[in-house]
Amino acid sequence: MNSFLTRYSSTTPEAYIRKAKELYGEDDDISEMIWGSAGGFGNLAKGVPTFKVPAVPDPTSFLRMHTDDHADPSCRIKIKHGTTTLAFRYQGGVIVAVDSRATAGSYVASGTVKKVIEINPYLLGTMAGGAADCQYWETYLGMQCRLHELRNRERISVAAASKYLSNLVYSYKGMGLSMGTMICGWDKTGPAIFYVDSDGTRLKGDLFSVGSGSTFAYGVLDQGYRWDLTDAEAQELGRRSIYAAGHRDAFSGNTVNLYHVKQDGWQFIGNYDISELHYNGPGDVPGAPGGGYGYDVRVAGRTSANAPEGQ
Amino acid sequence: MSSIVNNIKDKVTGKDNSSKQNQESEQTFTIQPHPAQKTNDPRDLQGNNFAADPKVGAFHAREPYIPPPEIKNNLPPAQCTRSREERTRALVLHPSTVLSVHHFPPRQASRYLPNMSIMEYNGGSVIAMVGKECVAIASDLRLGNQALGISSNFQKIFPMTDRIYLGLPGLATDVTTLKETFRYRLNMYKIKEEREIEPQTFAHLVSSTLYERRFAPWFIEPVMAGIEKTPSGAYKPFIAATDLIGCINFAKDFVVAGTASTKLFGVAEGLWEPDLEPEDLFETCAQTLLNAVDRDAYSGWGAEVYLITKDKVIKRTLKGRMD
Repeated sequence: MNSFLTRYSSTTPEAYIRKAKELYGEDDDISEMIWGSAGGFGNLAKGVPTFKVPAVPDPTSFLRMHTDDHADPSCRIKIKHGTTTLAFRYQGGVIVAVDSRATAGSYVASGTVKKVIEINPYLLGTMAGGAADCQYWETYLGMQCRLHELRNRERISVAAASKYLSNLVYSYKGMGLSMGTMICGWDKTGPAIFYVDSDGTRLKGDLFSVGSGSTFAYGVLDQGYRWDLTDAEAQELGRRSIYAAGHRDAFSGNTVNLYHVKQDGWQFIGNYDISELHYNGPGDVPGAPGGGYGYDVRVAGRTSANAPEGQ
Repeated sequence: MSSIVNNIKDKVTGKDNSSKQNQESEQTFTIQPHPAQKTNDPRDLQGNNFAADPKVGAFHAREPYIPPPEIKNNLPPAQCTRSREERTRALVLHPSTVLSVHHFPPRQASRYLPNMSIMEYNGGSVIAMVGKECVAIASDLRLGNQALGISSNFQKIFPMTDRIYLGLPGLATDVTTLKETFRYRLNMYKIKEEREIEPQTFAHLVSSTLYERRFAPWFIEPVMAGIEKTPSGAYKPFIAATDLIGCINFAKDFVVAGTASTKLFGVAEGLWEPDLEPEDLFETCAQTLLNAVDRDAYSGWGAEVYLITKDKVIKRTLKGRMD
């Protein structure tokens, strides 16, 4: 009777823990994993989730040997790579633009990936590198940002959020986490972008591009960037830069996802097919000059190699 | 025994002691007998233990010659400053060095070898399909440098005769070289034979041209399509493909090659059906190619299709995805 009472006397997560302990028998039998995974009871007992690591004397060097990192491209465990993402800050806020292709080797595994993670209404994270790593840790960052709001009665700054993520991934350094992300948002200080990667790098800046197609995106971005861009011009620049990367880079492409972060939070601008942009342009949207972005399309009939009809 | 030796002597000296009647009754040979034998009959060899005969034994030795002890024990010492052990030690590399030369541990290998496949260096794919009294061959138009797209106008299909087309997906430098090699070889064939080559023969020409480089191959997997003229005068569609060292695959439905080959197989298995009319075959071939290369990072950037029928060839350039 007493045990029956205790079982239903509490509505807190403690009750679940107690119940689980009863089911599992001894306390020691409940593995640490249960507290750390979504399949268990959430992260009640500890602040940071815990993961199983390989049962070898030095898990860090073991994982470094067998997972992907910059030093060694020929490792056993390959993680999905190949992306173009960009974000830049200007007078009117932050523009975030990404492609939507996911590749595994030369195989195009998906053309409809969401590479912008909506952490909360004021924060966006971009995704490059390991899809699972980015998705999991940026969602987790969203939980921590919400807890920050509840504890401090104010929204977390972009600087604090990015530093939280940076410190978190640094604690797993060398274990094969692979992510290159930009944390973008608007806080008390105005628009802000931080580049955070799995090496532990954290950089504040006005303009970043990450991924295999980043060089192509930078090319377009650099020649068109000014602080006093209008909203329409800025959106067009973001779209045009991802198009350029999607066109030239084999591992980027399919569609562009465009976001605009303003004082009152982020706004989704649109999804554009890169092949459609090449041949016909983005259609009737602010900032678009009209016509396709493609070189062949723009210069048709105007070069010696591609002379006008009848010449 | 001595009679045989005499026989040999006679043959060598040219003397002919044996009677002429004997020669007439002798067998006639299509195969020349061994100089040491009278006939080709194996029984002639029986009873002649050559090895046991000290005169000829040396030339029929079965075992290595081991010098007798008196010679073995009185050999002068080796003319060398170092002992045999020392010399052996000097020849063998340090065991760990030997290991790293012959067996690269996987992680070590990447430091010395570039991490790339030569067949995927430039990208590109080709497919050929059979229809009813027609064939189609199609390719993408991408030329890349690994992930970087270079050109969207790189042709991989070339006419060999009026009704044979050859697709050459693979390493771009070899596409150009092989195209010229086949042009030369077909010109020579035409001059010698005073006629055009037949598709079947051409497939074997491709195969042997590639096998010539068995140990330093061209990095190309050719695909060919054409129309054959049967002895009865009818026209028969022909397709074939080979691997990079010339193993021919005469298929009855379709053949694929290139970086998107796996994806092409998948789509073609789903779309192809027997006895397609020319325009239906074009549609099937074009859709197969376009949809397959959209799932391949190294192929795409436009496409072209050649539709070959008995009286004409139609070339169409397709508008493909440009990413």
